[in-house]
Amino acid sequence: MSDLPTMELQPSDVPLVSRRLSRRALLGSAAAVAGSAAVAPLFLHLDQLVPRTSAATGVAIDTTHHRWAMVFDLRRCDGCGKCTTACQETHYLEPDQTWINVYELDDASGGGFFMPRLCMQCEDAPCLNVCPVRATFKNRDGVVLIDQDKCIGCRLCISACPYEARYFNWSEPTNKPPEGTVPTPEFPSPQRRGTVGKCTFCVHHTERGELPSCVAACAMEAIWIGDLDADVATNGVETVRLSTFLKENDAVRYKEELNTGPHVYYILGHGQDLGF
Amino acid sequence: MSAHGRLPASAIALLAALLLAPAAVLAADPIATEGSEAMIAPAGVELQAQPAKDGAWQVKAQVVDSAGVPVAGTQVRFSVAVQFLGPRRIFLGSAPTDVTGRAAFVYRPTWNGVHSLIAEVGEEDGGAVVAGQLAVDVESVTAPIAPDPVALPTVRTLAVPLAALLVASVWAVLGLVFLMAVVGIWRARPQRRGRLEVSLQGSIPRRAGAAVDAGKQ
Amino acid sequence: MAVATIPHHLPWSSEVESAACRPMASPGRFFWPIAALLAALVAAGFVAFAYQFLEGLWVAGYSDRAFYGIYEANLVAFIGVSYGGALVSAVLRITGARWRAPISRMAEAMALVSLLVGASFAIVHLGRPERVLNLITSGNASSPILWDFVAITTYLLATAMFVYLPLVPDLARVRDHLAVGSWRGRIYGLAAIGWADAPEQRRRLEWAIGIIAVLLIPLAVSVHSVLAWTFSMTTRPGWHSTIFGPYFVVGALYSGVALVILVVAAFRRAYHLERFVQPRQLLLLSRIMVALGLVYLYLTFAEVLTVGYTRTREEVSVLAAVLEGPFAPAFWAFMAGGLFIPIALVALPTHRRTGALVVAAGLVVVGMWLKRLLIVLPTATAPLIGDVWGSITITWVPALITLAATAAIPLGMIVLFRFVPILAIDEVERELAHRAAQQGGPA
Repeated sequence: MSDLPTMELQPSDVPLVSRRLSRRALLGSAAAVAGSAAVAPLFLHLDQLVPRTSAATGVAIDTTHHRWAMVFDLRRCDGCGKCTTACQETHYLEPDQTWINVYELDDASGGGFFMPRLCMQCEDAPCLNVCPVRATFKNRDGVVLIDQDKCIGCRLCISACPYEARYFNWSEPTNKPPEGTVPTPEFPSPQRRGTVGKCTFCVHHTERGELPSCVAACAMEAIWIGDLDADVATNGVETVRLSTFLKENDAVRYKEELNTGPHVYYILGHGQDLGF
Repeated sequence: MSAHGRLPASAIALLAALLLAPAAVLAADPIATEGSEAMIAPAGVELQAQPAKDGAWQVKAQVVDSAGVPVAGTQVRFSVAVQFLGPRRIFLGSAPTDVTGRAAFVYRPTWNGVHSLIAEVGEEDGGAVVAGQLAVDVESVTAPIAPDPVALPTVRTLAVPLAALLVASVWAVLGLVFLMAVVGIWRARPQRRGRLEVSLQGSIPRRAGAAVDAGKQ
Repeated sequence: MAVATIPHHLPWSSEVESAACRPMASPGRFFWPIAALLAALVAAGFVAFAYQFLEGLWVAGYSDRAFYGIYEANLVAFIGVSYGGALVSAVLRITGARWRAPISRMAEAMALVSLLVGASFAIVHLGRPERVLNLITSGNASSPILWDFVAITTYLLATAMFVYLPLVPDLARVRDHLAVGSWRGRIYGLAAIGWADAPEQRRRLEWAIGIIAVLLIPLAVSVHSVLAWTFSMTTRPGWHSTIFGPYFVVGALYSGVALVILVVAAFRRAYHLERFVQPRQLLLLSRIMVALGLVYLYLTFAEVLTVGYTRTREEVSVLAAVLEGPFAPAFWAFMAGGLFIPIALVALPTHRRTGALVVAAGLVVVGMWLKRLLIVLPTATAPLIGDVWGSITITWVPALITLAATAAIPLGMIVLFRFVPILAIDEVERELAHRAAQQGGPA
C-alpha cells in the first residue's frame, strides 16, 4: 500500500488506455528503481576482488579461489571447549553465543561423545534462501556471511537453519572489540543489537593465511580446515589430501538427507552411531 | 647431509617445467651434488616423473650413496609441498628402493597447478636427504569432491518471476477497478444545480415509496 | 426527519438512517470513558514498544532457543480474526446471502482495523524495525517474509477499497443531511465522490464491488497461506507440514467469524440496533462458525494422526510435548474450550440463545489465540541437536503490547463509527425493500 502511486480524483478527458499506460510506466520505473537499488548492495563487496594488504600486518590478502570445508575428528574430541572459548574471544561474543558449540550426545552403545557444531556453510543454505533482505549472502569461497547493517532481525534464518548454528543479538553486546573497530560481514565485531551472527570459518584469518581460531586452539588437533578445490586440509600440525583423508576415515556429514550440502565433515569413532 | 648447493638447479628445473607445454612435463634433473662424508648411507636422491594414464604420474626416486652407488632396501618418503595457510607438506606414502636403488610411487594429483614433489630418505631425526623438488604441472584434473548440486533449480528460477507477475497483475486489476469505479461515479454525478434536484428527487421516491408502504399497512 | 409509526418487523428506511447515524452524533454516555480507557491501553502498548526498541528483544523474553513467541502468534491471530470481515462481506455477498446486510459494515470495519493491528505485529517482532524498508530496497523474492509483506499489503489495499466502496452511498446520505457548505459537509461530499444514486453510478459501484469481492477471496487465502509458509518453509518439527497453508486459512476464518459475532453482539447492544441486527444473523454466523470449527478439528486431527502414527524422532518429541508434556494443559484446554464446547453450545438446540452464542464465540477467539501460541512455542523451543529444550519467559512487554492490540480493535471501531454509519444504510434499505416486495403486504 505504501508504494502505490497516488492518483488525483479528477474527471479527465484522457482516455483510459493512456492512463493505464502511464500507470504502468510509473510502476515500471518504480520497479527499475527498486531493482537497481536491490542490485546496488552487490557493489559494496567489490573490494573483496581487489588485492589489498592488511595495514596492520602488511600481509597480502589471499585472493585465490577456495572452497572452504572443515573436518571434525570425533575420535579425538574430548569436549574441553577450548574451541568455543577461542572463538568467543576472537569475535568478542556474549557468553551465550557459542558460534562453535560442543554438544554432549549419547551414542547407540550407551556411551557419550562430544560433537562440536559450527556453521555448515551449506551449498544450498536455507538461511540464505529465507532472508528477506539479503543480509545473509555467500562470498566467492562458499562462506555464508551476514551483513549486520542490513539485517532486520526477523529471525527467519534462525528458524530455517537445521543445525541451530545462528545466534541472535537480543541486547546490546557488552563484550566489545577495541574502540574504532569497524564491523564487516567478514569480521562482524562489534555486533549490532537486533541482528543475527554465526561462525564465519574465520575468513578474516584465512584470507591472511592464518588458521581459524578454533583450529588453532584445539588441543587435541581434532579440527581441520580444508579447501575442497585444492583438496588439502590441515589441523595446524599435520596436512593431508582432503579427499583421501575423508575417504579413508569414512567421514560423514550431519543431516545430509536434508540436502543442504554442508561443508563440514565428521570422522566418527569406532562404535559411534549418531543417527547421522 | 646438508641440502645446500642444489637450489640453483632446482630453480632451473622449476622454471623449465613451468615453461614447457602441459602435455608432457620433462623431469628436471636436479644435479645431485653434495657429496658429504663418505658413508655407506644415502647421499642423494633424484626424482623423475612420467605421466601415466588416468591423470596419474609415475614417480621414481633414485637413491645413491656418496660414491654414486645405488642404495637398495631403504625407505623413500614421498610428499608434496603445498602453500595452504602457511607452507605445509602432505605426506603421500613411502616405498622401499629395489636393488637398483629405485623406489616407485604412483601420484594422482587432485588439483591443478605446480606440484612440488619431495622425496626424503634417511632417519627423520637424523636429518633426511631431500631430493630436488620435482615440479609437475597439472592442468586437467577436477576436484574429487564436487559441489553438491542444488535440486530442482528450474522450479526456483521459474517460481519467482511467475509469482511477481501474478502479484503485479493483481495490483493492476485492483487499482484499475477502483479507479474506474471512483472516476466513473464522479463523472456520472449530476451537475451542481441538478444535484439538489436529483437528491430531492432521489429522496422523494424513497419517501413516496415509504408513503405507499404506509398506505399498504 | 419524520418518523412514522413502525410495525415492529418492517421498519422504515428512514429509521435505518437514524439508527445507523445516531452513534456518529451521540454515541452514548459510556463512549468517552471507554475510549479513554482503550486509548490509555494503546498508549501503554506504544510505551512498551519504545522500551523494547531501545533495549532490544531480550525484554520480550526471547532467547536463542526460544526465538519466536507471543509476537509471532499475535501476528497470525490478529490477522486471522480479520478474516471474519472477508467472509461476511465477500464470501456471503458472492453466495447471495442477503441476511448479511445489517452486519456487513461492522464486519468490514472490524476486518480493516484488526488487519492493521495484526500487520503491526510484523514490525513489532523485528530486531531492527527501522530497517523494514530494506524489504523493498534489498528484497529477496524467495523469502516467505517478503511474501508476507506483499500479500498483507495487497490484502490491506483490497480491504480498504472494500470498506470504502460500499460506504460511498452512505457517505452521500450523511453529506445530504449536513448543512451545505459546512466543512464537514464538504469533506463528506468529497468522500462521496458526487454520489447521487444515479443508475450509471450504481452500475459502476456494483461492478467494482463485485470484482473486488471476488479478488478478495484468493487474496485472503494468500495472506494466511504465506503466513503459514513462514513457518512451514523450514525443516523444524511441528512446522514442516504440508497442510499448514489450508490449516491457517481455516483457523483464520474460524476465529474471524467468532470475532464478527462478538463485535456484532456488542455493537447491537451498545448502539441499540436490535431492530436491524436480529438473533437470526447471530445464529447464522454461529452455524458458519461451527462448520469452520469442524473443519479445523478435522485438520488438527489429521496433523496429530500423521505425526503420531509414523513417530519419527524429532517430530514425535514435539508432538509429545504438546499432547502430554508441558504444553498439554494448554492444548487440551484449547480442544475443550476452543472447539468442543463452542460447537456444542451452538449445535445443541436448547442453547440457541444469543447469550450462549456470544459465549461460544468468545471462547473461540480466546481459544484460537491460544492455539496460535501452541503452534509457535513448542517448535520454537524444541532442540534440533541433543535434547535440551529452550525456556519461555513471559515478560510485561509482550503482555502489555498484546493487551494494547486487543484494545486497539474496539477503539478503532468505536472511533470509526463516529465518522461512518454503523449500518450499511444503502444495503439494509435495499434488503428491506426487497423483502417488502417479496411479501407484498404486511407480514
